[in-house]
Parts: sequence; C-alpha cells; structure tokens
Amino acid sequence: MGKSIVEFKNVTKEFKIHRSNKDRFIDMVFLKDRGVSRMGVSEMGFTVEKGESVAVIGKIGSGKSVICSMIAGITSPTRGRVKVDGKVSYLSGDLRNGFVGDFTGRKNMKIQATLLGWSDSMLKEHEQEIIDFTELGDAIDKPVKHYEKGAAKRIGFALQTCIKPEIMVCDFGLGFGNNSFRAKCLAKLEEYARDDEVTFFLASYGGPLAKRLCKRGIVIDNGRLLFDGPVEEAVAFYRKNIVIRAKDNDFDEEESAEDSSSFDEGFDDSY
Amino acid sequence: MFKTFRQIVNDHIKYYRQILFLAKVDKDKSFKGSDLGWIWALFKPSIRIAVYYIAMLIGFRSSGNIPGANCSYFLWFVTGMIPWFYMSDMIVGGATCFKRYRNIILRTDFPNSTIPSIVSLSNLRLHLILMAFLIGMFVIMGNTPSVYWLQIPLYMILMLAFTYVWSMTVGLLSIVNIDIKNALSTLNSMVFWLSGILFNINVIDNEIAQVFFMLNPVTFLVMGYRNSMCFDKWITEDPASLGCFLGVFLVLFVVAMKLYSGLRKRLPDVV
Repeated sequence: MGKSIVEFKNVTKEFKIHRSNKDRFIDMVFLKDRGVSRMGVSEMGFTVEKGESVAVIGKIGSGKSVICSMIAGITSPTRGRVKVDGKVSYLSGDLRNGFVGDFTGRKNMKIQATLLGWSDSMLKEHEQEIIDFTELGDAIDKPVKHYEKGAAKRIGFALQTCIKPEIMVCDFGLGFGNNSFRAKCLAKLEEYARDDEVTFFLASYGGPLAKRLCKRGIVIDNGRLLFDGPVEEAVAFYRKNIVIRAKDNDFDEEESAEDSSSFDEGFDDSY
Repeated sequence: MFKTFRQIVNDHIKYYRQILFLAKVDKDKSFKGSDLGWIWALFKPSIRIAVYYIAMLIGFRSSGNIPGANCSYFLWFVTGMIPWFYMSDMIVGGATCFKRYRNIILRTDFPNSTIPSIVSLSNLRLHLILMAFLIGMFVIMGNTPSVYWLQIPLYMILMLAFTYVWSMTVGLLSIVNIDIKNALSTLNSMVFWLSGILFNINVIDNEIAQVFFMLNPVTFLVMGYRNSMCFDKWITEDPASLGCFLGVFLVLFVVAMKLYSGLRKRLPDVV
C-alpha cells in the first residue's frame, strides 16, 4: 500500500444560515449556536495515496468545492479531521487571484507568485517558461484589463502548473483560450494526472474529462459520499442515480446551463 | 489567546517579504491608471492642511505660537495633522481590509492574519513621505533636529501596533455587520474634532475632556509627535498618558485575539 497523502476522517462541514444580521453577528462574535445548519459535507471518509488521480463527481452544491478547498487548506472541517501531507497547488475559481486590471500581465504574475510563496529568484527562473506557455507574447507587458476574454487566466494557469506539485487540486472551468491552448492545458493536466509523484484531484460533473484524467472516482451528493471506486463505474453510478432527467438529451443541456452559471466561460467537457 | 498571538507572529516572520510586497502593491493600485499617480496622494493632505490652517488662522483666530512650543503655530499644526492622516485612513480602511482581500482568503492559503498588516504598511509609505516633507519644513524654517526626534520611530511602531489590532477587530466585525463600517465613518469625523489635533489640549480646563483625551489613542499619538518635534519632551515624561494608551491597546489586543481565534477557521465561510 502506498503512502497516504490525503485522509478525510469523519469530516463534516456545516454552514450556518441566519434569519437576520443580528443573529449572524451574535453567532459569529459570541460563538452562540444561532442559525440553521446547512451541510456542505457530512461524515465524509476516504483516503488517497500518493500518485492517485481522483475525480470528485457531483452536481452543483453537492460539496465538491468544499472538499477541494479543505484539501487545499483554505477552509477547515467543522468536525472530523483532514490530513494532507504535501504542498498543494490549488487551481480554483477563475485563476486570477490577486490580479489588478491596471497592472501588466508580468506584474500580476509577480503578485500571484508572491501569494503562492515564490521567491524572486524562483520567479526569475521560471518567468520566461510561463510567458512562453501563455502564448501572450508582447501582451505580457500590457495592462490585463485590455486583454481579450480569458487571456489573463492563462497566466494563472501557467504559473500554477509550471512547477510539478506534490498535490494538485483542480476546481475551475477550462473554458478559456482557443482550442489549441485548451488542448495544451489539458495535456499539462494529463501529464500530472499520470505522474506517480503527483496526487491529482479533479472536481467534475461526471463528464469525459473525469475519465480521461482520473483513474478513481468518488461520487457525492448533498455532502455525502455515495460511491468510491474506478472512475468509469463512478461516472456510470452518477449518471444513473444522481442526475434526474426528463429526456436523455436534457442531461447535457442541464449540465451546460449549470456550467455557465458557475464559471465565466463554462466548463468544457468535450476533451 | 497566546497560541493565536504566537501563530500571528510566526505568520508575519515567515511571510514578511510577501507582506512588504503586497503593501507596496496595495497603494500602487490606488493610483495606477491615473496620469498624476502618486501626486494625488500628496495633493489631498496638502489641500486639507491648507484649508484647516486657514480656517484656524482666520476663522478661529488661532494665531501666535503655542505656549511651550519651540516652533511656529504652522509647524505645530502640521505635526499633528500628519499622524492623523494615517490614523484616519486606518480607522475606516481597517474595517474593509478583509473584504478587500476576499479573493486571497477564499482562493489561497496565504495567512489571513497578515492582511491587516498589509493595509497598515501600505498606508505607512505615504506617512513616511509626509514625515520627510515635515522634517524638511522644520529644517527650512530654522528648527534644527533634536535628540527628541529619535522618538518618532517609536511612536510610529506604537501607531502600527495599535492600527493592527484595530484593523483586526473592526475588520472582522465588519464582515458580520455592515453597520460597523458606517459607524466608523461617523466616528472618524468625531475623533478628528475631539482629539486635540486642531487645538492645544493643554489649555483645556475641563476634567471630563481631559479624561477623554487621556483615553483617546489618537490624542496620545498626535501629542507624541508634537512632544517629540515641538515640545522636546520624552515619552516617559507623561507616564499617565502612556499608561492609558497601553491600557486601551491591551484591551483592544485581547478583543482582537479573541475574535480572530474564534473566527479564523470560519473566515472563508463568512467573508
């Protein structure tokens, strides 16, 4: 058995919904138990070994992002224990964390590298490699507010993937850039997913991307773990038991509608 | 509480380089995109000094030297205004520090305890520039630097420490209640007029007013700058004021640590 890199032990994450601002204030400041609990994740338990590639499959609101953010150390469980043994590269949201529109791509790259804990020498060593990956050319020295849609995200993606991570968590939409750039990004993700030194997580709606990148799938719904096994079986379980559809083709339309409401440019599952 | 304080200190030591860089970026982005850039940062306080000075001189007829001061009324006046500009920015600015850096809280594992420091240090840069101008004015107008001026860095450190615990407290409270920020905007005006910035508190004979001045940290810091540059007084020559300032600081420190300790793990859920 390999070394356990990520371990969820009876993990529960609750979010409080308050009826009034007064209740919220009293709860937060004086740590009283007002408000109604909504489960993000409920008694979740699983272990992932080094080098595994895992698709976390579920609908919007199922708890995928909660699990991903707990692995990344952004949020903590309400009960239970999350053990993560390694440095996490967390690709989430729209990849432009810390970006300022009036700054150039190069300066924004430095801001994001600083937030990731990079030293100046580390950034200098990889700067040209990142710029080459983004295919932005001279535009790297122009303010990002003038970039075409999705171009700034290339910098975030390139920065977070140029150094091989110990653990990679992907919870973002890959709907930016042209087709060839998206193919390049997918190839990069696939490289890490296949690498035995990298433990890989992908938040997925159960599409082809999960099967392409991952070997294992865990299916969650309403914060509960329903299935844990080979990814093909996980996707089949998800489509059979979780997704409710009136007609067969409504499934894809429903997922697409959810995708576009979740991300700026949607999650393209066609690769 | 002490465990929280130790964690905060460790975060600052480990991430000091990133804190300084982000503080620099924080102010730069305010002026990026404008043609005059940093000149606005100096123009605004200069206009305010001019307006208040003329109002005091002509409207309130406050001409003549301040009793005991070794400098003109104008220099005495400006010496009190400069630390006030910093404090004023932090009274309200501190309340929005966590909301401004929401993306960092939600998407990275950058330590949240450093966010008030980023905002404090960002405003400190302008304060240092204004102090340089003030020292220049003192020298040009015939006042030679004295050994008492060496206290200025000490007052700056006290000011930074106070604004850190202030920002931590009001920043966290503002997340849970927007009325806090609105109240602070009102408080800002009140503090300005009641802190002895525009008038000499030493000639005020009212006991209640004197108690208020003693308990007001802004008064202590403004008087500290004036005592150092205009009255040639050591910080230890007024132990009652120093004791009151440290007492207020300690109370706010305990509140800040308790709040942060309770909200630290829930911050990504509530911001």
